[in-house]
Amino acid sequence: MITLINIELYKIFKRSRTYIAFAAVFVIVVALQIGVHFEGQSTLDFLFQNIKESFMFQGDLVNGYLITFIILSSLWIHIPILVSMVTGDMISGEANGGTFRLLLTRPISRTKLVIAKFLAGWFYSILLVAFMALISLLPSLLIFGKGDLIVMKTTINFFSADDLLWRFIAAFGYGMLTMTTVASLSFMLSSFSDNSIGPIIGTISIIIAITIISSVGESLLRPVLPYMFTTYLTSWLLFFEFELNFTKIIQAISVELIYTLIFLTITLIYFRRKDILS
Amino acid sequence: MTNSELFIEIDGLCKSYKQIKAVDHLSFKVFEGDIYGFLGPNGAGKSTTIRMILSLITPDEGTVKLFGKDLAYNRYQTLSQIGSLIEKPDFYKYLSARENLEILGKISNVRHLKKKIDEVLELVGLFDRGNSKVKTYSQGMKQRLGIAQSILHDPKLIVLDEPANGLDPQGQKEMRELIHAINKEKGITILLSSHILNEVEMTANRMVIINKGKNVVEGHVQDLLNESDMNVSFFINDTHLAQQKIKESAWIDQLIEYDEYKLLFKLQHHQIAELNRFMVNSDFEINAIKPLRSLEDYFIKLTGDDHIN
Amino acid sequence: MKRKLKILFVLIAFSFIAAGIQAQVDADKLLKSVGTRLSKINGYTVDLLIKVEVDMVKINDRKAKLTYQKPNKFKFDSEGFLLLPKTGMEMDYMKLIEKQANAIYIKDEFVNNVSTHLIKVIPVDPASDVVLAEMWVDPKKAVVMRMKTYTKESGSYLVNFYYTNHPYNLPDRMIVEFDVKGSKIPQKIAGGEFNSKEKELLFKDSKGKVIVIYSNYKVTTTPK
Repeated sequence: MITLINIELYKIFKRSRTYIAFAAVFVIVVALQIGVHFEGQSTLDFLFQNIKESFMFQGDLVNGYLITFIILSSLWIHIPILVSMVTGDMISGEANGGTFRLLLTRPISRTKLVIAKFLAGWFYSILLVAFMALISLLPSLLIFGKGDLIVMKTTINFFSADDLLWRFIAAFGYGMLTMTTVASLSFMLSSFSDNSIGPIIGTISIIIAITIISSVGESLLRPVLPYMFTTYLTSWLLFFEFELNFTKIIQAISVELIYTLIFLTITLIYFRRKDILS
Repeated sequence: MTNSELFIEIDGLCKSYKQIKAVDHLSFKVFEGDIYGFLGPNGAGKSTTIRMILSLITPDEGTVKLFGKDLAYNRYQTLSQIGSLIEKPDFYKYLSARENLEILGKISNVRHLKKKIDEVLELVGLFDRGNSKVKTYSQGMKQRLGIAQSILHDPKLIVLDEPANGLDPQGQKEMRELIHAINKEKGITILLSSHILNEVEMTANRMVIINKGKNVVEGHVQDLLNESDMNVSFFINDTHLAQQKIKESAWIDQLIEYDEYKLLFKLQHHQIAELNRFMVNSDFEINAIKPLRSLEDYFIKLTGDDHIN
Repeated sequence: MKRKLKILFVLIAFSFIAAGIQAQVDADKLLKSVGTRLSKINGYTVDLLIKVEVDMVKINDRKAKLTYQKPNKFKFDSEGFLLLPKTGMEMDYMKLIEKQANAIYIKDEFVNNVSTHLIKVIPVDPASDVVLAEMWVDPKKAVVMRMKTYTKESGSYLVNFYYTNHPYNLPDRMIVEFDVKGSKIPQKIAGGEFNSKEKELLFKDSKGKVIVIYSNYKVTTTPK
């Protein structure tokens, strides 16, 4: 199994598009850092103009933590695309390229191959999120300094700087989990397809469609929403509350894990029986 | 050459796609040491059968036994002894030939992998291009690399599906020579699926012909050829005189047509020599004797199907 | 006997009236006494512990250092962000005392168990944001115990000062109560709950309270 995983990782990191994903993350993060640095204060001033009538603000809220928070907020938009670009190609790419004829005629279990591919794709996904975490946090803190963080939810929350690092680590960790679910979805779609565009677009379409339907038809879908994995894509915000709601956190983690397992199980069942015609 | 050990035994194999029966109760046997031709027109079910032998497709009915073991329950043990090249070989284009072979060798647990890769690349004539990315390879080079990967793990049996596909005549000749070399020098049994008749005729010792997923005929190539009629052209100086002589003889029933250069006969294999003696005894100077595409006629005769090259 | 009682009654009545006339408070003088007391202080530094209790805001208690330099320089230093009430932190009553204003004594009232004079102050300057201020002043110590300010833009503030026996009668605690204006924040900028279908988060108008605890005063006085 280790050999298979290594082979799959080797194939992933031999492709130039893998590095395009990391480059894209780098560009997006740098762009956000620059944007918040220049426009952050004016945006905060605008947002808090009413509150400023009651309070004096003393201190700089535009700091490394705010920038990292904003970058983290963009996580669920661009990272799923970059993740599914690789994981959505892991099975369909072999089918499209005809290389299953080479692989599956060898003494190799289809189950092991699928699991190895998934683990390699998963590793790539968490590496991408870890990379994003590193280039968000470290340069932001070094260049823009530490400071308190303001987070608006149902209340306006001010977190002190010494209470933030663990929250960000937990939030990025949770981000890795949600991207694992996204990876498993695109991986499953990849097993159904003989081309790679379908699974990539399919993954993003599913996420966007469910998210839109959830917000538009919220009153109708309210009973179902807690069971949709898209509902919890932004649940990393749960780590930015004064009193952590452990029930909600555990619920979010559980739903994401269950969906990951479901997608992976479907992939295994389908792929084991699939006739390789390519 | 038929040896006692049965390498492939297909028995009552069936596979349908929706309403279409691609393979219909197909049966044949391949013995150790054979170069076994697997013939049929396009759409006859050859590729489907090959893929079932290699466990890429699950049969609806029937059994595939490899080295005496049921493939369904002994996949790992049986596939470790088989190499294959299915249709046009597809590799990881962004990797070099060596890198591709390294991946496949690791999966097959090949020992002394680097040395083995050098050997097979040398055998197929790609040693100097081993570090080039596969996307730079010509079709012929890819076919040869395909053969290389099929023998990398020293299999006992190789399954080749249309190995000369897309190759020019020179490439086809090289492929035939390579197949012979693998069989003779390494003692590897070969199942050769093709719709190119010359390829099978010149390469295989035994064969099966299928059509519409069903067995048509199975046996030794030479035996099947000997049973079949051939179109043979006799190139003679005075064809008009020769034609008159033939009319007076029992050979008139075999004469198809004639022109100023040659007489065309439908003969069985053993009759060529007999007719040759008759011509010589009749004082005709024979410039050449050319049999035409014998197996095609045999195939068309058997199947009534002319969709074969 | 009856006549003696009548005389006694009249004397007592007169003494009350006299006391009443004498007790008529000079509001301006009282305010000035507060200013005079404070003018002896050249400056000070003090440690602050700031607690914010506002429905729509969640913030941990914050520590800061306040440096005051006469006459009106206030500097707040803190490692982190500070959310400070607009009134109360910078001896706002001094601004009223120093600027032109009409001060009227209203009555005596007890504030936090201390007898105080309630004075209403109306700034003369029509451009002033403060429309009216009420100050409860302890005449014995010349300290402001409570102040209620009505402003044009920011609603009203109520500030309560608490004193222990500081040599310069500086407060050790201050509680500011005020109106917090509501606001709307776009959902996508905020991290709203998933079940909120509103495009904006609405923070309603509410009441807020900030408690400031002063400790470790270091006072420099004006040389005599």
